[in-house]
Amino acid sequence: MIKQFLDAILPGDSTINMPAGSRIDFAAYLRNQKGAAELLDQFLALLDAVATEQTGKSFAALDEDRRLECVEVVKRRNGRLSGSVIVHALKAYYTDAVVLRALSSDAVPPFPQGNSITEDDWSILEPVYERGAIFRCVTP
Amino acid sequence: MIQHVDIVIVGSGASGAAAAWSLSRSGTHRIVCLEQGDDVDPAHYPTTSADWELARGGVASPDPNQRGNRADYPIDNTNSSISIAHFNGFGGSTILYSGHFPRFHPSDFRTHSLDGVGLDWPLSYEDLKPFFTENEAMMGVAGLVGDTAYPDYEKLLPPVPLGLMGQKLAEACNSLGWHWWPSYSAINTRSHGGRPSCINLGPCNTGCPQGAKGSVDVTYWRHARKQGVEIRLGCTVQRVEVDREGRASGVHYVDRNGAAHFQPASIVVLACNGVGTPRLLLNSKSTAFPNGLLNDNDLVGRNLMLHPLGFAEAVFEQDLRSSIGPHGCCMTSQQFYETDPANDFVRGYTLHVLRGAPAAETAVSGYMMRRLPLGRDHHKNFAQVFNHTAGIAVITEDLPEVENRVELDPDHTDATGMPGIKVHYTLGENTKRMMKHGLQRSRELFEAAGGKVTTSFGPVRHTGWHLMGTTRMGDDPGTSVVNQFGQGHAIGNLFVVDSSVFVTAGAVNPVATAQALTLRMCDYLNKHLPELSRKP
Repeated sequence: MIKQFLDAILPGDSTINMPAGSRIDFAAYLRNQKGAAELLDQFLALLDAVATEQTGKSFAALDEDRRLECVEVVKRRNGRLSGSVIVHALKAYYTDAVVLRALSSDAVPPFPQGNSITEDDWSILEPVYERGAIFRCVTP
Repeated sequence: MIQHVDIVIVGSGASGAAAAWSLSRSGTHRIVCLEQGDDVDPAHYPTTSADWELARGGVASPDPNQRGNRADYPIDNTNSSISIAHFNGFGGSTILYSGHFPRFHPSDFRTHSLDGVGLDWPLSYEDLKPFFTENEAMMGVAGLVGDTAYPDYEKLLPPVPLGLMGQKLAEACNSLGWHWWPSYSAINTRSHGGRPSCINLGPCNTGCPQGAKGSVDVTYWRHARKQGVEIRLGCTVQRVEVDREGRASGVHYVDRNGAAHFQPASIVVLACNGVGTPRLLLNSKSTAFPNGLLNDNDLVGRNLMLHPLGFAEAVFEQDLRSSIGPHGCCMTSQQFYETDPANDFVRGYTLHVLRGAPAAETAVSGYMMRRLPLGRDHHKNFAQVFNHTAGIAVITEDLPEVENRVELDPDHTDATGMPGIKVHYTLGENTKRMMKHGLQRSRELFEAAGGKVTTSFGPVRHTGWHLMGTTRMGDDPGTSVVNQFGQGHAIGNLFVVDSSVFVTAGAVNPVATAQALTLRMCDYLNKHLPELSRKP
């Protein structure tokens, strides 16, 4: 059910090569976040209950649109719990190496490769020079 | 049996490191530095891993209450709109700072004479100038000489790159007729001091595994250790001892195994930052000093200044690759730094441009602020925000107020049983008006740059990095704790050499000024060590 939840909120997008939420190692993330696994269990239980109540089916049996609708219902019923779990999911997703590599051409991890930035043309400071000094003169 | 030393330094951060280097140059003094934190291995800094952003809520958190290391002491921020941020470890808060490194301006030392607020410092910009220069050479500071907001910088490494985002905001400043300048940054933009050049990892404030950022573990300490200074880690100093003649005789500390020791010393130098130093002085109570040391006039811990910070963010249509580059160092505007009679406040502020948020922060803040949906449209919307944002921090000059203070909190103690602290801090009316003005100017700047403002508020709570004023310096023992050389008015061989001694706050990051002061104080100490060490 974790994978279906992750795919509901973060579905893959092949047009921009973004992987689906279920591609990340959420279990590894949870192991390093104190209390997060317990929150997720509570959230998933509530999510499944809402799915059954609203559709007569389990959450896993729904299509992606209906799953997202159930997530929205849970957000309204328990904003604090759902907010915590969704933030964990977003953090896990956007700190995963696979996702970050898909996102941009920047170094993942940043060290040791680093990143380059284009050179600056400092003639852009000419207007500042032309206006002259702006600090207050103080007699020692 | 712990041997007597000439000088014991408490704290290994920005000022403790500069003091250790300066005082050990002659090679004739036995010097020990006691640091309550541990060494941090750059090979394990967060940016060596893809999930580095997660460390900001853990090992690299600037909030000691959140980090919860053995060396961290409890800080109760309940009575403050700004919470304290610092790092207890070898190198102190320079491990987690962004390296933004401007000097104070000449007017910052004369706020009372010029504007009728605060107090004048017992020294001037000119007095500090040679020490600014010396410090910048030691730390490795990038920037550009010729800044119209300063009288003089002589030598700097090439500036950190602006990037597309910085260029956009620079052009906007030009269109508004405002001052701007590339940041003064303690970042090697070319090899310097035996350290390599910056490779734009991004978050300097989680530690720099490249060693390009001038944190003092890789600048001053490399030299100080070679010059013979002994550093003892995991040692929490609880009390400064004073003998019958009223002289500091050493410090009591507890090591990482819980064993108590006394380190005798001829000179005691405190460099524990603007909250740690008053904590130690207030905790050094005795029958002779029931209110703690140097506290005859109830000034220790008072006049706390924090630089209340406003924040504005905007999103641009263009991909600016804004998350790339040193996050805290790009450019600043000091158009509104000096007092302007047209304003409804005195003194001023810096507009400090920050690079765009990294991926997870962009996603979480976007979701929390209902700008990023979940589901099918998420990625499309995320792509329109990530690397498209810029931030501006409004760094305001707060004025010294006696009610803004730290005090001991005996109900919450650290791992050694030493009391934590309570912080009492309220924004003054002048600062509130300044903040409002700065946020309005930030919005104007973003609009001139073609950005859409998405956030604008202040003060930002978790930004109490700049800890100043709690043992201020001055010529009058009735209104100050130490003299211009950091020497205690009441105890001549007890020195405070960190930003606690600031008289007013300026409106720029304080480290460059704090270290220049430290070097000047230690210059005095070096010259007068024989008579200062001599018992009467």
